[in-house]
Amino acid sequence: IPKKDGIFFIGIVVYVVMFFLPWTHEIKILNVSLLAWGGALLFLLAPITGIILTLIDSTDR
Amino acid sequence: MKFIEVTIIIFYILFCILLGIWAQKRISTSDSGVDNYYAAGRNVGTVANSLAILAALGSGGSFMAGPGSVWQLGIPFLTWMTVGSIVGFALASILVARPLRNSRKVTVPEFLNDRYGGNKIIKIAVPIVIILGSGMYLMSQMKAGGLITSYVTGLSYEWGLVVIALVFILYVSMGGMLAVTWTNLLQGSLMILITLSLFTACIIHLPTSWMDFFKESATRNPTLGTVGTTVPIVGYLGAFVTWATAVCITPHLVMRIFTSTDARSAKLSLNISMLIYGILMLGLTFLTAPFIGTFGEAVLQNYASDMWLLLIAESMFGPIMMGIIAAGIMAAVMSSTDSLLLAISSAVAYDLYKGVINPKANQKKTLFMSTVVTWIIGIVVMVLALNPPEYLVVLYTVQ
Repeated sequence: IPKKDGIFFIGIVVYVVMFFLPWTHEIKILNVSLLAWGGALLFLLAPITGIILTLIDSTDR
Repeated sequence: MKFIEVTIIIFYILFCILLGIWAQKRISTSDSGVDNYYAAGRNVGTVANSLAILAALGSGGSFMAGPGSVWQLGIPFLTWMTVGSIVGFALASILVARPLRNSRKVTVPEFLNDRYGGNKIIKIAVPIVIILGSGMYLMSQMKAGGLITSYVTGLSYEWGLVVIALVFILYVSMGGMLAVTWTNLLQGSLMILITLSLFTACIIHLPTSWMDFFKESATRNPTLGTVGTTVPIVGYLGAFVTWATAVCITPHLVMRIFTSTDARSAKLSLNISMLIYGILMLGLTFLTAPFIGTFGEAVLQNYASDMWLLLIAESMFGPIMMGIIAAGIMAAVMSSTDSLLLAISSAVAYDLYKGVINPKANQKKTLFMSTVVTWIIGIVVMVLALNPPEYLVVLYTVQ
């Protein structure tokens, strides 16, 4: 697995674990827990990172 | 149902059938008919494939039941469940899209059979798993299609199911993946159009600033923003992992990778479709769902939560836009059911019939078999969907 793809995979695992730690449950922004905002942000972060990794991958050209 | 709405729906259905006829003509005059029928000639561009993947993934449940589910189960659970499929596709795009596309196969069993050196068990077991798994999913989607068609046309559930099923069986049997791709393009565009129209209407109808309105909604319904009120935390993680690992390997979505012009286009299509899907789901969650609170409990109790989205739309739009929304919701269902039907019929006609029973079958015989099998499976599943097993209700209310 190319290193940058491996880093993406590990990054997602770390991101998910970080937002599932108990401290995110009680902090609220606009009356919605930080855990939910973390999930919402991932809606955009995951595909945008996937697009960038594809565009910089020279092996597909 | 009013005349204008029904007219718009009839135009949409006729357009889908015309696309099927056009695809059949193109396949019948082509030398590579099997490639055209199962992989749309492998020349579907990035933008077209992105819309087709979006349409195949986003079923009626995503759009109809989305806001209602958010209101009832809360944003924390719904976001982590739904984002699982987006993360799964993003990872699949960088890990497996290239070998899948470069294999130049047309079905998932064919790819696995090649990968594991022509193992006889894999040759037979994988198509059977696809037939059973996708068959149950197709049945649940057909039931959802019958309910939605019944709602938007005023027909009974049984006739609604027959109408929607016959339309997509007809164009899938005629044009295969080529017809599915072009109808999915139309359906994906329609889904984006109605969702963005709904977002625009929601912004126009905001009584105060969005931040104040959203905060007030979350105060009125504490479930909306609080962790662990409806599902335990471990359930969030379970739903995330399940969706991340299961949704991206469904055969009707993997087959779209085979249709791409090259591996790079396949990878981009997967991520672009997920980005659009993510934006639409975020809008439905953070902009549309809070409007449910404006109706009050007394009104909401008179409707199933799946219908709350239409309650919001009816309060904002006139008959022409409601007709387009009705067609868009039918499109969301049909774009998933047609892909599922093609995945099942390819498992029978291409993988079992041509792959195991009659390997010497020529192109004409294989395509004829595909058409016959599509009709048989479509009709059988339609009849079963008239009175489906109770546990299938869980399937079609979730996705």
